[in-house]
Amino acid sequence: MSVGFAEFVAARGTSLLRVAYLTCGSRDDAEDVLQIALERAYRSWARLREGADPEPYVRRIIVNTAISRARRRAILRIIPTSAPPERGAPSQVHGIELRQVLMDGLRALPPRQRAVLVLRFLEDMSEAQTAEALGCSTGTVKSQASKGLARLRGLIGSESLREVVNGAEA
Amino acid sequence: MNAEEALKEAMSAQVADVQATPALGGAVRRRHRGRILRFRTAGAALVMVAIAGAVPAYLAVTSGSDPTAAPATREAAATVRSGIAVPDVVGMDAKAARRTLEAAGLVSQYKMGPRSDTTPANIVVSQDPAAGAEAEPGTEVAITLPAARPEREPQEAINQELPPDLGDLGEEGGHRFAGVDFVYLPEGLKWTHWFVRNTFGKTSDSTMWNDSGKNTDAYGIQVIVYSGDAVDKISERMTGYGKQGAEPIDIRGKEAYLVSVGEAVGELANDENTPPGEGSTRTLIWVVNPDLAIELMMSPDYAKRIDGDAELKKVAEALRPAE
Repeated sequence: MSVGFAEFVAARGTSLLRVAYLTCGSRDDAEDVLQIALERAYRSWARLREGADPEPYVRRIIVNTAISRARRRAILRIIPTSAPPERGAPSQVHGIELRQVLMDGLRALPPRQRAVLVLRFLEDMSEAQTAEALGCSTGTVKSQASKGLARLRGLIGSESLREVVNGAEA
Repeated sequence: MNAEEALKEAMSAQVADVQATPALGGAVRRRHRGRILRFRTAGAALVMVAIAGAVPAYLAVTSGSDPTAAPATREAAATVRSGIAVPDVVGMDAKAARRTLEAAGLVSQYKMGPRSDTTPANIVVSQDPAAGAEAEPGTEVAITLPAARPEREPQEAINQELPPDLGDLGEEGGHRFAGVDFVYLPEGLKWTHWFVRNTFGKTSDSTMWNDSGKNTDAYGIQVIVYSGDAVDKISERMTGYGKQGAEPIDIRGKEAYLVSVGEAVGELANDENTPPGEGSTRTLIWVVNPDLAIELMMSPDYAKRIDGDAELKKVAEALRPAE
């Protein structure tokens, strides 16, 4: 039983940590959250393995733990949250900086929007799979994704994005 | 590129260097020394994570099962017992290096180094930590392989393992070649440790399987995987087969030709171009997507022993572009 668990972590640990990292926004938090998820998975490992792939279950714990932590922190005001950093004219965004702006923007999103974007675009999960992982409706996934994307678009400006891309290809 | 793609790209880049080392469990434990007793309850699991099943069982058992010993003592004991000397893997091929490191309880992490004119792309040129260094079980050892040479010149390789960028075939059950997963092959066929690159145009990769697994024996099934400009050539060849009267068949929704071809691959075998007694080759060919075409060939000898056409179709129906 435990051998199966070790193999699972060895095989999927990196992928799960990446989801945790982007969902939490910090690597320390991500390791914490991943560990919590793995502990919970281990406790019910035998039961999990009777079913199918344990990965969705562990991923569900990760994103939901990350969301609830982030919310708790927001309430306690341990970290400033939710307000995307003020940015000047978006036409000045280039290359590496674009990535940075996107990641800062992602970090500043409300936790559930962030989780939706990570699952949809890092993990390539469908709306239905994302909804299942988050325990919400596909409608919520759709609206959260479009809100999150709209905010990121606002940060970078769709015009500047096109310029960056064209510039990179030229 | 739109915002979704930009976000995807940014996320992937952001996490590219985020690796969960198998020592993650141990790292977390150290960080939470104050809560160590709580972690002890799940300790066995976390130690298993740290070592990924790679060290003697006594260590795994010791770390989690003795509730009376002081935690500090047990940590120390585990550290002392777990130190292992990193083996020397420079000069080995990638697979042998991985096996050697795994056997020692370590984890290998491939890294791409600069191109080398002298060292083949699947030979380890350096490692970190160095040979002889002491490491905890589960430590990642970075092994650097030279980048593959640019695919310009035809290249033939015999009795080698596939370079990682070309796939994974062989005894361990891998079935990936040149970005295609060969999910089904007729029973008993073995990979021959033979492959060529760009022999059939740029870009093309070809390999073969047979009963003996020896590349000195005749092939059973050979595949050529075409990409890049070579795909257009295949489209032209297929058009030619159609004009010569061949009837297309269907492979997973794509038009394909299952034809007999002689020495000149563009011509269907007939009495004129194929002298009596000189066999033609059953060939199944189709374009999977704009950057991928496949040609499967079955040797006439092998085809006599099995239901050749049916097997070719089964191979074709089952294969998948790798994700």
